[in-house]
Amino acid sequence: MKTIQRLAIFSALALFTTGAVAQETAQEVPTGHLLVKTIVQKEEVVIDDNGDQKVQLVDARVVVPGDEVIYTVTFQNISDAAADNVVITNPIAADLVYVDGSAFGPGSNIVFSVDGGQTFAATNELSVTENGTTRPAEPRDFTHIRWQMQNEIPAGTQGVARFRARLQ
Amino acid sequence: MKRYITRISWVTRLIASAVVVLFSQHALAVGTDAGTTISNQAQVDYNVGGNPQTFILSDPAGNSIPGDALTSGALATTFVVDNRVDFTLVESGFIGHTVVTPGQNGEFVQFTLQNHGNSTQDFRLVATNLVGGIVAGQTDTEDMSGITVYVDNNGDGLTTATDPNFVEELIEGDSVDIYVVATAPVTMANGAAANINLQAIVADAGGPPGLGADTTDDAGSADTAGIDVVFAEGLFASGGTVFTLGDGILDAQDGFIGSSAALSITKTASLISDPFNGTGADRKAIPGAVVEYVISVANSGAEVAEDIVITDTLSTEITIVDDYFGVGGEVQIDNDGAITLCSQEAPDTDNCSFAAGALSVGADSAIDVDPATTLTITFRVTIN
Repeated sequence: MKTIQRLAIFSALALFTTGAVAQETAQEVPTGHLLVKTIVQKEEVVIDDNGDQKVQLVDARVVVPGDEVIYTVTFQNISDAAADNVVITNPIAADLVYVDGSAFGPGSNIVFSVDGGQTFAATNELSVTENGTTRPAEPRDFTHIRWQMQNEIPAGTQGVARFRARLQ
Repeated sequence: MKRYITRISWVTRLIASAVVVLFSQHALAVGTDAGTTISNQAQVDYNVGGNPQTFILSDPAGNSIPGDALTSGALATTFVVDNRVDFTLVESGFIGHTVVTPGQNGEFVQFTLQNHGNSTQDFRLVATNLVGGIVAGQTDTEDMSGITVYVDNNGDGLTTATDPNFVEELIEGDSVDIYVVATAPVTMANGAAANINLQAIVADAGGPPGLGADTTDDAGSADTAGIDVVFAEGLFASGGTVFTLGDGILDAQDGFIGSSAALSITKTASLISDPFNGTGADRKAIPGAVVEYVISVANSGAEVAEDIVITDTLSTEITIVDDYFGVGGEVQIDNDGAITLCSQEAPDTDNCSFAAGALSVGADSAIDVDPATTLTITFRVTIN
């Protein structure tokens, strides 16, 4: 549980900025260039102060079959160097069905897999063979989504990838 | 004074009592089971300066340590599937009111409860008499007694003493039949309805055998990690399009309808003759005149009216015409064409009695009046 360790260390650093022991421990943890975060949310209709209906994203605290959830992956370049050829690969849980057309990612080329993430292609190039017959892939067939960033992620900047899925 | 008593045969059993055997039906589970953890973890591959770097996995709070989950400690982003309570409660078996005779017990109305939610549930059941109101076109005017609920958990289609009065551990997609047995009022009128309301309240499954506590909506304390409850009963029934939050309670109605005798009684008096004018048109109701009385008891109901006793208080100013229907025959009893005579003379065992100035018919042996038939009693008197 190194993440927890590390968070604890940061806390310790905040309290004891000259803590030599803590600094030594922190140096043992290799750090990559990107801070990657995934959150899951759902839409909720709320009534604002003006009495108007407003759709907002809230934590996916209550999710029942039929509900749609929204996954948002953020990747922030926390290094001094630009990252390129950034590829985000996200599996779709077995009990979820990708919502057609919902994958979103500025500056990315989005491809899908129907074979557990072995191969990826655009949606219209994917097919599935069932009982000896081949048919075009449907959203329920998708097992993974991949965002291929077309541009480098400069130091200090952040990218985002998002998709919706419906709980079966 | 006229009086009639009906008592209906206890052996009357109608077609509606045919036991309908239905077993629990299995249907496809409806949705991902409550309590399932749905995990998601993105992987980011990248280059720096043209050199491939070790991938980084996502974490709900952010992760920048490269490598697999073990190495980086990155956690998947998860949520737990919550409990969508959805079920239907409908009348089943014999559709329409169940026919009962007065006082009959053991008859039932049937309902089917199906769990369309994504979690095994218990259901608490409450069956009550509806007071007033219309069910299936029948206005409630009667109340049943001894209302008892039997849940056919074992699928044998029978109501047995060991059947519980609640639904135990009904898994997703399954249905179970519920019988509500009751006793009809002894005075239940022909065609009168006793409507029944069955209420099902969703309850927690699991735990020791027996009915769990009523399931409560904990939306106020909803969290990502635990199983929250969403009352969505009616979602399935609406075809999955209307998601109105409910309260985990559904009602359904059915009823019993009385099948009984329905008697009407009439008495007519006809002046036959007087001592001066004979049977002429000018005859008058004067002393010595003869009057014929006809008492008719018609059964317009659906059941035999049994053990009818007709009592007619006679005026002291009249005298029964002796042997009018022949020797020992003062009163003619015509029961749908079957004619018997009886006498006012002792011994009084011929089904007529004249005690205390009253004629009583039917006291000595049972007179039954079939549905759609009429009992006619005829006798003549002279005016004193």
